[in-house]
Amino acid sequence: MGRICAEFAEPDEALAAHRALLDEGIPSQDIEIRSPCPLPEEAIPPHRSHPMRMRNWVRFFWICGAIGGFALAAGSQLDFKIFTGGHPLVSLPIDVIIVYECAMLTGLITTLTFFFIETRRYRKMCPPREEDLPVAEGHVALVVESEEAERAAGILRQRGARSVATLAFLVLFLLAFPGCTVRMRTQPVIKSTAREGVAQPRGTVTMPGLDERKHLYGTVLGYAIPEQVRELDKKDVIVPTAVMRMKNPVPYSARSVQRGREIFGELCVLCHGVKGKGDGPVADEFQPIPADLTDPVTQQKVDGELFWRITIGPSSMPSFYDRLTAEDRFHLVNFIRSLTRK
Amino acid sequence: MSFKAPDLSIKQIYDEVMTTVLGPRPKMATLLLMIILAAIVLHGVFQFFRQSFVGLGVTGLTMPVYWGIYIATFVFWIGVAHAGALISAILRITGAEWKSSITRIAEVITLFTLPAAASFPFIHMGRPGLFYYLIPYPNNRLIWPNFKSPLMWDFFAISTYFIGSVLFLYVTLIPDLGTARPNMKGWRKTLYTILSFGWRGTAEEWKRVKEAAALFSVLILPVVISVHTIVSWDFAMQLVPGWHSEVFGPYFFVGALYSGVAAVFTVMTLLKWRCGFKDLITPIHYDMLGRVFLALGLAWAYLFFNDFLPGYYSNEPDKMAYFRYLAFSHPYSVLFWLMFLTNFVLPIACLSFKGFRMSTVPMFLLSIGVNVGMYIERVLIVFCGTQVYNPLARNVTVYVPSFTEISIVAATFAGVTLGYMLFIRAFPILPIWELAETKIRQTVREIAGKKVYYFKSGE
Ligand code: HEC
Repeated sequence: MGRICAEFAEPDEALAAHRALLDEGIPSQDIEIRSPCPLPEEAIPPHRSHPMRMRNWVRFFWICGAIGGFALAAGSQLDFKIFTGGHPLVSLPIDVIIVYECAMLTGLITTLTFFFIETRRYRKMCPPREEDLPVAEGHVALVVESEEAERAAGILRQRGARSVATLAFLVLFLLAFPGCTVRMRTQPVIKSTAREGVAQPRGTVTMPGLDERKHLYGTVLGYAIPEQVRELDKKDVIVPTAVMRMKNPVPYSARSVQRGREIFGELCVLCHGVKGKGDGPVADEFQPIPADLTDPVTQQKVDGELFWRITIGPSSMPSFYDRLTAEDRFHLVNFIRSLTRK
Repeated sequence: MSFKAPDLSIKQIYDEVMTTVLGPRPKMATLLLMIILAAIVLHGVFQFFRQSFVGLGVTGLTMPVYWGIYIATFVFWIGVAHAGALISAILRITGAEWKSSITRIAEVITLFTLPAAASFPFIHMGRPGLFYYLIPYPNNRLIWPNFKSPLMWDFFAISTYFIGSVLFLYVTLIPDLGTARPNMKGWRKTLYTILSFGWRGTAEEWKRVKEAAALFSVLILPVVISVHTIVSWDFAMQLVPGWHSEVFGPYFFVGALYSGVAAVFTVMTLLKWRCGFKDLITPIHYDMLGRVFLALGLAWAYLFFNDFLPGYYSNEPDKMAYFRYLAFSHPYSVLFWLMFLTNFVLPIACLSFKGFRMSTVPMFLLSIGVNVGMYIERVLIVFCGTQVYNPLARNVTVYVPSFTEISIVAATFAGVTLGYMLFIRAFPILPIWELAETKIRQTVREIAGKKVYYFKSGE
């Protein structure tokens, strides 16, 4: 298959030669006219004419853009609620503005995209040097790509072509667009407006502030004893007598100890150590250091007192009043007992 | 009056347009000017960083004026940026043949003024680093922008307009880049090869580039209207008497077109003088565009008065206080009456004469006058709105822009000019193919019994 290019100084001559080629029986889809400006369409028989669908695609994507814009505006208003004293949450006039801009933006981008898509059929991305036609000089070129290129060359020479040259072929492909994933939706986040309580992340220990703790002391177990709250800030913790008399409602059993071990491994080991010896990785940071739970001093204490201490958290130990259920705290007591019991 | 295309062949058009790109190296004076402009830009950048580190205290902004010259310049640049859309889109849709010489000049104005405008909200921000809070994307903070704020609409409208006008400019530039590519050397050859995307100039391609240009025109026109309307809502949605006005949407839009066309005149004249487009930019173009200019001037004047009329008839105390402040109080009254002169009296008086419209120098001066007036208008609206309306303590501080603010504003002016100068050096500033097509369209011939629009050079 041959491929030649003929160059004409005048669009007149080029179009006449074009006509002559057609008369000589060379199919019109094999001839291509290249010009520095749009020639009147009436004068050119179609060359490999493909239907032009750009307009419909723009219409289609314009609507898609409008829908997307609505989803963006309305969706975000529903997702991130700003309560507006009786006004509707999704505000239509505002959505209209966003819908409008999004639709237009999509329309504009679609136009460019389909301009490229639709013209790519007839061109190569970066034409090689031989493709450089001197159309800048105001010349019009005829490119014939056919079995009968040689015959066409003859006709074109006769018709006053300035030069007739053979062209090489080279096709380059477009690059694919790399994709990317967004994981932000799935990771845990804290919304400032969220109503529900914040879950304690696994493996962390929170230390309540002094005020918070006083509040807890005041209400813990339903006891509100101001003197004792004041006392609790002192080093020697005075334990309410009611607590001393409290019975452990959870019977000592392997299951209970196991449950206690689980919680202990999650919340307590950092300070008290795996064996409860008070030698956890951060133990040295505290003054007084975390108690050695296997120590007879601790083990001699009645269940109620251990429970109370876990609940309020003496000195630098955090309070577990609102972080563990009462039952779990009793499981922990059982677990502490198991440390020395053989 | 029908428009007659210049008597040039395609080759001559090409040569004349490409003189700016392929012509002799720029003179020393031009280079010096560029260096000075670059220095002003760099100084502005420096001042911006200084402001970011030190804080907005380096500006003159205090209560009651919290929107200063930054916002005024922002509105001004947005206005000038409307040139591109107006000229290219409206003229393309209506098929005005004289548009060809002007379209790209106007589009390139948009290309540089719009970023200049868009930079001001960032500059004005206390913490510019957090600007991305405006962009709606599923983020770590799980916070969506507040779509109920006009500033958010601004962000959408301006980015849409910017993307749209860049694409528009690019699509219509592709054929010229493809045509000029073989004649280029060095870095321009590489640039043109990449940007022209393998343009060949076949009939099918021409069909599509025209289709795309038509679609762009239709799409970008409403966007343009929305852009400046939304900018006006930044003001009109607030309860400051000078700002809270229903007519602000059309008023701002028409004002924007007015200053845009003025900017086109300024640039067009400079190009004519510096680059010698004698045959391509003719008095006829001045005349035609001058008519548009006149119409816009009248529309602007109408809306300008309309802004005050309801307040005047209802004798609304706040609005009248605002008006009196503008018109009769030092220092703003001088500016106000200057604006009245350059934006209303002079243009309306002069532009109605054809002789005036067709003469280059007066039109050049008038166009600069109108833009000075438009700048003053923005300054007055932004400053005085809050300056007058001061319901809290009797705060009598009069806002005066600080050195930082003025140098940053100057930097954008220098930046736009510099950008334009560089663009001219790199790309053809007139659309060769559109000029050539206009030429062809005007020559009707008969071929094989069919009446076709047809071309013969030298005719
Ligand atoms: C921040 C580190 C820390 C964490 C976490 C911690 N503790 Fe403590 N704990 C301490 C310190 C310190 C003491 C000693 C207080 C003192 O002597 O005044 C202590 C004391 C105790 C006591 C009292 C011992 C006694 O003899 O009075 C018990 C019981 C106890 N912790 C159980 C627990 C349990 C069960 C957990 C997990 C739910 C836990 N602790 C988590 C630091 C911690």
